[in-house]
Amino acid sequence: MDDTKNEFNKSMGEESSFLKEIVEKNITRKLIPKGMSWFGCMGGISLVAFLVQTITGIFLMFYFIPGTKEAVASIQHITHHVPFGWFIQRIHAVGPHIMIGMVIGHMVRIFFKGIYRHPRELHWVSGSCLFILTLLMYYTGNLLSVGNMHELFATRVSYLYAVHVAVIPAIIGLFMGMHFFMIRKTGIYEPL
Amino acid sequence: MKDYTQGRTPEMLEPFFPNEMFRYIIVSCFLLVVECIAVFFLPLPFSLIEKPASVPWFGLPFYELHKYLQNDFLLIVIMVFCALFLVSWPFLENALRYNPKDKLSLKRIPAKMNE
Repeated sequence: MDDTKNEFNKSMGEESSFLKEIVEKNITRKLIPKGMSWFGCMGGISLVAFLVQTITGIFLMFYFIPGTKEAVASIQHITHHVPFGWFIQRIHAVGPHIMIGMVIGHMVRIFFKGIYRHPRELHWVSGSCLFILTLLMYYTGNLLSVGNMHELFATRVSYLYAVHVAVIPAIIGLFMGMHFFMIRKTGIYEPL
Repeated sequence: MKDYTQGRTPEMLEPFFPNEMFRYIIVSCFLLVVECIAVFFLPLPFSLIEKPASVPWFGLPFYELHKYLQNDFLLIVIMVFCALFLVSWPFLENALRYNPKDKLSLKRIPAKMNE
């Protein structure tokens, strides 16, 4: 019994030291070059804006009905009857404008500073794909709220919904993983 | 993972935690404040420019183009080409700068050269 307990404690100790090492290596003992620009945080803000959209989107998923006639009615129900629904819905509606503004700001900075050049060409490729996917995300989301008034999308609200909540986020996640992995590999842009 | 300590003295470095983390927390709070201001203070049909409500501000160039072209297919083709141009820009730039007579131009342009 004691042996099992000792083994369990040992394995737990190994796991916690492993986690401690990861945290120390990546956060607490990590050193970065001095004088990083505040504008360098725009990529990070875009990620935060994406997370805000994801969280508010998950809340909206509980009440939104992706039906031809029910979509607008469910949005009205969220806005008027669900506690704080108006706030979540408005954040989800306003957020993309701020997120796209941040992404454009980030890309303009990268472009004019020439940071996309060798060895960071693939960062630009993955980043611009993320930008296009964000625009597609906005487009499909916009059609979900106003689309069923448009005859072209009247019968396709459920398809649009599937694309908006599953297909595009999955691809975005893939490209984000690529983008962050490459940034970790080549490092952030170093000031001269 | 990139090691920033190589080739640098301790005076040229700063800790990621709390310095950079604090910077990110500040800008994240700034973003949340901006979003809340937008939610509370912007009127619902918010439109500074004369345009249909379904066209967002970042879609205005394509909306203007659509007004002149009056052709959906051509507009989609132009949008796809613009997207391809944007994605492949670093490689296009390299190809445009390539000069067979100049041996230096065979090398890819590093990020720091234009600074």
